[in-house]
Amino acid sequence: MSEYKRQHPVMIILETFKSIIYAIPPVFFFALSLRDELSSVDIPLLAAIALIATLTYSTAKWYFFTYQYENGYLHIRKGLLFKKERSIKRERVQTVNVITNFIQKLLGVTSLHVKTAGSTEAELSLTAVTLQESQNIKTYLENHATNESGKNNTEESETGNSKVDTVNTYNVPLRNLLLAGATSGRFMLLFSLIAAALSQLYPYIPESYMGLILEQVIPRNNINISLLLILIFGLLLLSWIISTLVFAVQYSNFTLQRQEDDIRISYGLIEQKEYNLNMKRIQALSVKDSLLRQPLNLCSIYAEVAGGSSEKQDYVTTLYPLLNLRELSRFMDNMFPEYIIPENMHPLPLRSRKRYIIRLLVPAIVIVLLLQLVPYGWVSLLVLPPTFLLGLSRYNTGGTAILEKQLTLRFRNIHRYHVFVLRDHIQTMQISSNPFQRMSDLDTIGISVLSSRGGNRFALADVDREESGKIWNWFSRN
Amino acid sequence: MMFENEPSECIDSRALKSWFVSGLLLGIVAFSIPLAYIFLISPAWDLPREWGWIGIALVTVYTLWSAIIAPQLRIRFWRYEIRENEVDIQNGIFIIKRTLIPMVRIQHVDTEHGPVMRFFGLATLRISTAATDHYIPALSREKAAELMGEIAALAKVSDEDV
Repeated sequence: MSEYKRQHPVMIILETFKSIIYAIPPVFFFALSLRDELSSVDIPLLAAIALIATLTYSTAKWYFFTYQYENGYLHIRKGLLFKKERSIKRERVQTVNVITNFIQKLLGVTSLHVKTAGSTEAELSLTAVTLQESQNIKTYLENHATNESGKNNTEESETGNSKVDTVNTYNVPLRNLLLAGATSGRFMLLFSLIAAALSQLYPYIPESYMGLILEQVIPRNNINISLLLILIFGLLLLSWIISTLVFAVQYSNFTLQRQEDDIRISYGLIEQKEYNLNMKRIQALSVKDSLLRQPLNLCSIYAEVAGGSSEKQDYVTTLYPLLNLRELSRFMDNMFPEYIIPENMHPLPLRSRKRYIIRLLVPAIVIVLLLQLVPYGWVSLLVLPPTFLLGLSRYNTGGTAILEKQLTLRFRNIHRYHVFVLRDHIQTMQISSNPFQRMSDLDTIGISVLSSRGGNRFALADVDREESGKIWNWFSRN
Repeated sequence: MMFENEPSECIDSRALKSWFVSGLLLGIVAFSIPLAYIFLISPAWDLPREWGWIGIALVTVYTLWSAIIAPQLRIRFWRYEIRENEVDIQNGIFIIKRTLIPMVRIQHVDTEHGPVMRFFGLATLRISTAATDHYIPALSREKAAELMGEIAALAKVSDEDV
């Protein structure tokens, strides 16, 4: 019988630190509103009292938080006045995530989040355990899963259920991370954030300073538009560099590992994250060639994951941030042999081409015509050729393929996607057609799959009726 | 849609009456808005009264559509079929949708009915998968209960298979 354990004492520091961080905004506003009265108060004394109180509270929190793992259960007990006790059966545990932020890393501890099916937030979290201990708990909780697959192994050896029996690891090299960051398109977001922040701050900058700066940048009586453009361009470049570096740091040392049916994703420099998921939970795989990456033959790989949604679910669905298209088929063979990249896709029929172009071009023309009413509206005419090309490219991209148990859809919104779904993971299939489509024997084909957001739908418009019928019959079980 | 024979079953013809009544009720409620405009708002703020007449025209057209025309079109295409391994639904007015729900994916089946449907002895059958919800509206109450039992039984059987 193992004793109830406490977490590492540095939890006191972490908790104190957390409380202080959380207290800053309310205290700041409180102080701001009482500015005048505050002068008569001894601030260092007040701060010292608050600090001691927080420390005491954190110590109590640490002292009363105990945990234990044995007999297939993980138990925790916590609470000073309101006692709480919780135990989770090992079999119910879906994921064990190990996340280490910067301070935890400095102090040599890590946090552990245990999740069960269906819960949105972590069922149970330990915030300060040593690396060794976190690995112990993790192995203990996941031991059950290996036991079960051990039992199944007798069957699997005959049926070959798990397609990957060795440990395969993929690592994103730094060069690729920088490339991924540079092409992530996040710089536009950052740029608009900076611009928004500047416009918010603008009124707070004293006018005399502003005048001074403006006079430096734009000489009086000589408003130079090229200087303004250079300024904007410089800001764009700056946000591009920053976003690239942020991306590279965030995803640094990105490792994807597969052992039998367990997939482990870990990354991060300042904040280290580790996610585990079982192959069973992957409902669909998609390969995205974003517009910026397609010319460089680069793609990224995402998954639709069922259930056990974590707070940062978006990151869980990134299976691999950047891969060269040439390596894709080898990557899939090694890591996800359940999914096959079809050699030939069935393209869309020629008669859907005009529909793809019209669908984009007509609304664009209407908007452009309306914009003619405003000054400089003619500039919007420049939008039309790219719109036409996008429509054409969407038509060219659209394609379907059926391979035994797998449906592949290829389509483009802005970025190009290949979506691979196994028949058993398609929740429902819907084929629809509007009167114009019916006139030319075309259908829109859509499938719904389960994802951590609830459900996700993939659709492709204007598929040849013969092909959509084939897909329908492939999905039908009667 | 025409690549394969349509699902076999139609929905109950009483659906027309039920849709007519609910469309009409909604229309009456909607009428109060332009009427209130003509008699209360436009005199009080000296706004042109014609806008109210336009509103009335729009509401009339909408009510005609939703109480009479749309139900006719809707019932024309509404079909469903429950087979051993899947539920096949076809619906739509202009855009005709055909949906295939495998029994193995069905998580639960419910029947629902509002006051108007209850008056006509009708019920809506709702079929839910983990990711999507599907409806078969306006079945007779007995039929809905029967289908609910049938689907629940079939879904259960296939559940054990997996």
